[in-house]
Order: sequence, then structure tokens, then C-alpha cells
Amino acid sequence: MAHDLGLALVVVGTIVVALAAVGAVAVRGDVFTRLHFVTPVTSLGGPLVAAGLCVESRQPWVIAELIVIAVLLFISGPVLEASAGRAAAQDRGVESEEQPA
Amino acid sequence: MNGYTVCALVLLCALLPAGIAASRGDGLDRLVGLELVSSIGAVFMLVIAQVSHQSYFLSVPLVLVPMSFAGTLVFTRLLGRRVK
Repeated sequence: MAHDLGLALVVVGTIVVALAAVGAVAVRGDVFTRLHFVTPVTSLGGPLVAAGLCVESRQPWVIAELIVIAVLLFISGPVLEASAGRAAAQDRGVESEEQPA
Repeated sequence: MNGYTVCALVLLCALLPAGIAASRGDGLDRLVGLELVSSIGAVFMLVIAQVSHQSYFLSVPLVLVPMSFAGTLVFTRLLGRRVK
């Protein structure tokens, strides 16, 4: 039961990641449109895969390590996207202020 | 070949379009591709640790995620300043 649930979560996460990767190349648009395809990987795909491996694993420290990795991905993703979006806005002349130090 | 191996192969294949995104367009377009490559790479390594039953492989994504975070932030600062 735990094996099936874990595998199902990993499969769903993998599908999300694969679709996001294909979408980032297939979409015709500027950098702001492409940035939307990074979010599913860091906010949905990565945590789903980590959750599936947590269900599958039996060792507590492995589960703790997986949770730390998933949380780091989940937190760092939006920060990077906001930062890249701001740099793109400066580059395209939408935003004129310098980035905060 | 079990389900986790198939997932690892799919994630490995997903690195290819991300790599293509990281190799075309201007600097900021490539930066988005770089973010994708590092994120997908970290998820791929999670699954590889499960496939190989070597839990200490998890140390690699544990280091990769903060390192790619810092590296990408540096790139965004440099690319943002370049146009000033």
C-alpha cells in the first residue's frame, strides 16, 4: 500500500516536471511567459516526488533529508523567479529601479 | 525495470528540453533554462537515490539546491545591472 502510494506520488510529480520542461521550450513567448514553467517544478513536482519518496522510505533521517530538500526547493523557487522577473523587467525597460541590495 | 527507474528516465529526458531552453535566446532566456535544469536535476537525483537504494546520494541534491539558488541569484543581479 505504502509502495503504491509512494510510486503514484512520484509518477505524478514526474509528469508535472516533464510537462513543465516541454512547455518551457514549446511555448512561444518572452521570458516572462517562460518563467511560469519553472514554478510547477519547484512548487509542485519536486515536493510531490519528495513526498512519494518519504512514503516509500522507512528511515527517519532519510525522510528528514527529503523534507529539507523539498522545503528548500519550495522556498528558493519563487525567490529565484521573482529575482529573474525583476532582472528581465530591468532589461526590457519595464522596471527602472535597481535591485534591492 | 521498476516504476522508479522509469520515472528517473523520464526526468533524465526532461533535462533535454530544459537544456535546450538554457542554450537559446538572450541571457535572461537562458537563465530561466538554467533554473529549470537545476530544479529538474535536483528532482532527478532524488529519484536516483531511490532507484540505487543508496540514501547517501541525497546529499547531492541537498547541496545542489542551495548552491544553484545562490548561483542563479548572482546571475540575476549581474544581468539586471548590465543594462543600467
